[in-house]
Amino acid sequence: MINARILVIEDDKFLRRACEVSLGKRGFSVLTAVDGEEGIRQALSGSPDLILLDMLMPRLTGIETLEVLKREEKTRHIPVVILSNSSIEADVQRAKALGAVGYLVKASLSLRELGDRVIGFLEQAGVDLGTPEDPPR
Amino acid sequence: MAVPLLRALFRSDSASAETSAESSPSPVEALCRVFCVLAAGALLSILVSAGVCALMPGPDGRGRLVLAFGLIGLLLLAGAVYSGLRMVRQALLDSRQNSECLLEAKQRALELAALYDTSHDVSVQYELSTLLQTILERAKNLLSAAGCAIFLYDSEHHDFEIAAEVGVGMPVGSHLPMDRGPAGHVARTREPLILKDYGSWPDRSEYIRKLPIKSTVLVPMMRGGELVGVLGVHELVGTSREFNEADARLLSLFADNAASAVRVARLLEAVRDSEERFRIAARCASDIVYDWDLADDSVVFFGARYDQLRAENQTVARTRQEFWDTLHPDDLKRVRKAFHGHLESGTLFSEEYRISDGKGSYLVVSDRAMAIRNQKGKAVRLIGAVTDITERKRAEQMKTDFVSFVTHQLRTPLSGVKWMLELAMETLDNPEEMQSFVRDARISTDRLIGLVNDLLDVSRLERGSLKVARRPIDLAGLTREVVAELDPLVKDKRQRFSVLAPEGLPEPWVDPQLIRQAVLNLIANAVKYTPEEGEIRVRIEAGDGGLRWEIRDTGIGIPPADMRKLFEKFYRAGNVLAVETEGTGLGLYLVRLIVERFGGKVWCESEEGVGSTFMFTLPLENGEV
Repeated sequence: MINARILVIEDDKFLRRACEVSLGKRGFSVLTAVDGEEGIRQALSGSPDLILLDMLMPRLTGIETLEVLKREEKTRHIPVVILSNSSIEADVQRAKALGAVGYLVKASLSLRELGDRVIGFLEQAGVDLGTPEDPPR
Repeated sequence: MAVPLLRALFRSDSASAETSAESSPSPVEALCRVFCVLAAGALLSILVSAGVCALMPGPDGRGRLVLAFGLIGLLLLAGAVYSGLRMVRQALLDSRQNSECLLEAKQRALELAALYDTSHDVSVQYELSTLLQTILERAKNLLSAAGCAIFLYDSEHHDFEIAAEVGVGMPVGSHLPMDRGPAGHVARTREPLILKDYGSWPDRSEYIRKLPIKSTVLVPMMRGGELVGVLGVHELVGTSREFNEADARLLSLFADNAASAVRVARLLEAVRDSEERFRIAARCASDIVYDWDLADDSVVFFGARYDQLRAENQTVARTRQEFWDTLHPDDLKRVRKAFHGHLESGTLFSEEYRISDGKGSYLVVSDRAMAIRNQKGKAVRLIGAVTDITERKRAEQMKTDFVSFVTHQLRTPLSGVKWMLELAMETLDNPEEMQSFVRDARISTDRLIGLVNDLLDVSRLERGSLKVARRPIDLAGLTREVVAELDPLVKDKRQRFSVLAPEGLPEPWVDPQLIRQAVLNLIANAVKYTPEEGEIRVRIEAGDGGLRWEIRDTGIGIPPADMRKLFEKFYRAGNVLAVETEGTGLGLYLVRLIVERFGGKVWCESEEGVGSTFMFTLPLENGEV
């Protein structure tokens, strides 16, 4: 088990499941939310160590969710990685300006790479991961 | 003679030519004086001799004195008679000369009067062709000649145009070169040319060679040192009148006046042409063209779009401040800066900005303008054209939005497939789990295919290039087929689904595949947005010359704010949140495109939290939409 909790905010059912299963197998403890509002609630109550945030969501967009996360004292310090399928330059800039630590495009990533990047971001943020476990091959 | 001396002594001298002419006596006067003196002398002598004869005693000295005085008297008499005759002759000569001068003076006065009238006539004509005709007639009459021609200088081609003529039949409108011919000669020398016999002049040109001109006088038409043209007056072959210096002088005076008038008329013509072109262009452009007087801050508008706005009673900004007031606050600074920059340094003014449409929203316009400057380089007027590009911008934005949206929508299921397969590969040891991953991958693929199909259908329907195969269809039967397909989903959510359709419904002539798609989209939406254990009812009935298809659900409903845009492209209602956001936002749009393609209508009634009813009609006529 990795001693870290990941919150996945993703509206697509399958992508959410894939992240949850894959990161779970990697040893992370995974929380999921279907939209921005639920995501913020989970972030406030679940104390995740890292948040994977989708950009295009109904009602509260990724950017709006990010703004709230960075405003709230309880969630401000949590590193947020944008996990999106849009690569619009303006969005990237805006996310970085708001304090996202990374911007990943789902379609260009395998699940293994996603896991690796998450570990990387966590190490950067100084989170103690305990003993990592490779998923069974 | 002592007489002029005496004159000079007793008369005050004046510098004027008049008195200097007077100070020397005329010949007649002088002769008259001589005659008087001699006559007086003769008379005196005769009187003296007669006196001597009568008064002196004795014959001795008397005879000689009488003879002497008598002889003197006779000589003086002879002299007087001679001078008398001379005087009479001179007087007759003078008189004849005077009457000749008088005649000439009268003639000149008449000519000057005619010249004045003519010049006056000419100077009030502003219309070029009428002016030229007037010049012709007047010049001809001034010199009482048979014909007249006006050659105007063409600065573009550096030659002469035969602008007008009368009396000889010259080819009006043809061009003459500068190097030959009478006009060219005058143009080069800038002096009048008088020819007694045009036919034998070596330098005559091709065109005029064959014309029956005998004698001619041509003068330059000058204005401010610039040659406007050449004016020629001529007599025909078979006449004997010849032109002289006086004619040339008179014609020259007239020609210069005529030159002025021609120049003005030509300038006016050019201005009128230019203004006409401008008006036509402004009328044709759908822009609003404006002409802004910066000094008194007033503006004039042209253009079809302006006429349209006026017809709609829209107000348009008329002063600079009013204009700034209509600008969107975010654009104001930039536009002002560009405006002043152009006025001061001539940098190009081409800006896009938003202006208030007076109804609460903004139009986007493109404004290109250029300043007209005075001699000091200061901008005095601004001429520009404004185009409404609101639609264009909206379309551009829609296209951009569309591309981003589609990219995202396509990538999502693709990522789904990719990741599911990756997971499947990692769980080969757990067949059940692996199967679930593969199944999810498959569903993602289906979703992707559905999306691509939707996009293609929309694209083709929009462009009208979709081939439509129409045949009578059993709408109720088709509906039941679709319901059967979606049955697993319905069962999964434990929803109650019913289809009500009477027997013997008429069959509309439509494309079954397309209608199937529309029905599928509507039913799928109902299933998706109705919670578990909700109810969905489809009803089909005949009426209004067609069929009416209706689906009623007990789903989440649609907020009133979204009702207007429901059937638009990519529209997803604001409350579609708790439900997974797969789907393209094209579903309802496609339904609308399809139904309208067959001449029907689609609409919706809904209450949030209660449910929605979607309805469409299909006409039965077998006609093309």
